[in-house]
Amino acid sequence: MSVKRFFKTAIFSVLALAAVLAVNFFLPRLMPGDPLGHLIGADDVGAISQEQYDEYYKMLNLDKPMGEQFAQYLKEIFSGKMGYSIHYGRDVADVIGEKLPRTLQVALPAWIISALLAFFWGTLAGYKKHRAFDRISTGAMVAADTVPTFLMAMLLLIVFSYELGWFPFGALNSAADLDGASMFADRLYHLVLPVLTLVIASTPKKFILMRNVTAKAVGEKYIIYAKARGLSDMSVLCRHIFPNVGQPFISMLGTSFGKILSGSIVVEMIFSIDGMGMLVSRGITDMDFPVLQAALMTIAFAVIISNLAADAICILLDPKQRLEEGA
Amino acid sequence: MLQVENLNVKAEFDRYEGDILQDISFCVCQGQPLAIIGESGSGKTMCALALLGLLPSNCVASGSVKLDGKEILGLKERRLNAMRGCELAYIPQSGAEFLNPALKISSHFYETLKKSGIKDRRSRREIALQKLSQAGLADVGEEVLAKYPHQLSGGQAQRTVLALSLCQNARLIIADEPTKGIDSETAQCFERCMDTAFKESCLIIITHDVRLAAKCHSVAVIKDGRIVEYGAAGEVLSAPSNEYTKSLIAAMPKDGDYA
Amino acid sequence: MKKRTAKKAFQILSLSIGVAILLIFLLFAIAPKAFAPCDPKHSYEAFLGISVEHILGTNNLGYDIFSELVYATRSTLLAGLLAALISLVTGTLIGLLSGYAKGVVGEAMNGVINFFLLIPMLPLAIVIGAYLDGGFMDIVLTISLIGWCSTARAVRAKTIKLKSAPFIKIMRGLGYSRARILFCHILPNVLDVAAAKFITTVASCILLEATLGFLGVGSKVELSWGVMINYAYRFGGLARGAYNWLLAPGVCITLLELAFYFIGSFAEGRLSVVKGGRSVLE
Repeated sequence: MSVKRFFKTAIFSVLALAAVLAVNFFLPRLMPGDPLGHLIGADDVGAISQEQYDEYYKMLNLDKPMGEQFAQYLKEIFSGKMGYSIHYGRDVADVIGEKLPRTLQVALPAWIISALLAFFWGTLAGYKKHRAFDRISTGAMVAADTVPTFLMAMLLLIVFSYELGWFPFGALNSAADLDGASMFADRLYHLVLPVLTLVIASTPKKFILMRNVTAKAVGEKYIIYAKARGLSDMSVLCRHIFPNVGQPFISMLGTSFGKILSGSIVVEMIFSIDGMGMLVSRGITDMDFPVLQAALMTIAFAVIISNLAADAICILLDPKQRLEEGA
Repeated sequence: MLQVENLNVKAEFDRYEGDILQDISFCVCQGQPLAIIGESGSGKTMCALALLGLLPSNCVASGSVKLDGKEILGLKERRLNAMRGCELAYIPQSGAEFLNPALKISSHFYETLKKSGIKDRRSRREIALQKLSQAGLADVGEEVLAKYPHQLSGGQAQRTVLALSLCQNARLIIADEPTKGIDSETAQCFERCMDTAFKESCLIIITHDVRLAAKCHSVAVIKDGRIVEYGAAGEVLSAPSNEYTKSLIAAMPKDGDYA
Repeated sequence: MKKRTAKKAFQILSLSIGVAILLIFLLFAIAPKAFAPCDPKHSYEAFLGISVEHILGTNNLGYDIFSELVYATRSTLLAGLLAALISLVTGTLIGLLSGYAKGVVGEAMNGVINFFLLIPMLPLAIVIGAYLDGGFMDIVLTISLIGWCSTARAVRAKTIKLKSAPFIKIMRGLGYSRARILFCHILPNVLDVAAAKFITTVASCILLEATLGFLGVGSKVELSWGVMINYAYRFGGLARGAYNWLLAPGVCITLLELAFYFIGSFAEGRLSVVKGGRSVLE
């Protein structure tokens, strides 16, 4: 990872963002079916009156040439508008603005917890590769990895909510009218299972990565030297291994954000959390294309940016890239 | 005094088992350095690692290694680890590869000195500078401390690693090819230390350099994991009895590294 | 010695379990009539629990769940396999071309591969799937539009490595055409990478199909395991406590994924030995 490669990645990110924007524009207009229907989310264009049809036609600039449409589209995107949805009766951007924070409440904690869990657990396992701790941990992780996210969510819901009654059935808050600290506590109470599901679903792959990276680092010469100088295991781990596995960890952090968002689509549906996931699944049944596309675009943007940020942090952390090369 | 008797090292791979070292026996007294010479891959470095208890996880060592009468092979990892960095010292070859790329040189020193029990920051810095100058980096000590390993030249890295070993008052010092691939000035630094700081310890030098071997008290020749010749340096190097030793010595460089 | 034989025994055991599971499901897919105890469309009493007559109970329409499961295996496996095959071919092709092409073309193709790798699979699949009708082939196509990039990246990496191998460089000197080098000499050497990736691709394609089915993007005509769970969820599975209906297809998916994992690790273990010996300081 050098500064030159970072610029390459940055340029790639910009191009990727542009590509997402372009796909977002062309998809509804080029896919089979009436573009108008695609743009407002009507699955049956015949259901609306001719007047409305004409109105929408004008509103969406479908009578203008493609070039002008694209320019208008870009203008709208950059001013924060993402289209209109019949089903919600308002701008898609509004809808997303409402649902996104809810998703983040589940996704962000899960992201951080699974990353930290994978880091410490995986590094420890990799440090003592093939010992009992490692074998059991890796086995458990592999088992957890084979379980599909929706199954895991359903299992947790069934066991802990329906059968044991320890946790609520879903949603982000109970029906009762609470505020302040009690609402916060109630919110946390509701978040436990969805976050737990996402953590269990996303930790295995990260764990295995950290374990392998650590196992490889342990074989490095500077670790042998550190041990030869009699440094304790804890010292070796913290001062010698952690800084050197930091880079792959940060990279993984960047790429995993997208997977967490993906996973939360399923989790939200099962735990009845009215966030991006519900937006997407309702969008599927309603054939609400603008909403689906906007959701995809938002997620794509978030993923591209998190990757770029991760790469930037990697460069900053590595002394080899920060300072000049030796004599 | 270091006494090694019948040291065996077996390694396990996926499909087969291999004997890395067989029946290694030798003796090193204080102030009478032993040079171990042999081809690449003959097991010299593995011997060093075995003595320090740093063999990779797929290797098993057996036999007896006694330091000052105490058995250290097979010692519990905790106790052995306590000895490393204090009584046992390792000087690796090509220091640059063996220093942690993420830590500054000063950090390396502070770690080692902390292990020796020196808690005070300032005295650690002073001692570090002192050892660096002993190792031949007198003028640039401050600079070196502030740098990262990849910023040092090969010779500087090697002297740094030498200085780190000077921080310990080790009973047993193992130097792995200390003069390989570095300039003659750095090589001389090491030789100076041989005559001064390391005089009190049992010193084992793994080397390709005949000149360096000649400076030692005794020489052991390793071939395919076995010692084929062992005796006083003067005898082994000038009048070897073994055919292999003869050809090995003829092929070894006389001054520093291969041309 | 003991450690090694124990390790080997464990490997063989896991491989056997994996192959056994896969075989059972394959048999279900090929000859469902032989294994399903009942006609999957015959209505018995609704929401029956687990019993001897109905191993997994019945669903809201009274259909025997186990029989449904057996019949749905074909759809699930076929979708996954087909999608993986298409991914294999396209991925290998694109990987080869992008690895071999010089300069801008190669970089551009790499950019495309990375782009698809970056965008999360599920949302992309949902959007594409929403535009298409939902027929069987549409789902297969949707999944393969996402599954090819992993193979492409691995093949590209190997191609780049091979490109600088001496035996390939000589061929240009001998006057072989680019196409000939690429398809007759490089291609056979990347097949091991592609084959190893194929197994993981099948696993993830099946998983993606199941998730899409669960979300309702799936095939609206054929019943697959994912669609079964979707119905279970929508038609009162949770409310009625019909856990057998809800969980059974999911457990099958888990078993299948496990089987692919075992088979995949065995294959990779084989490959790494073929690649060469290891060093002492391993």
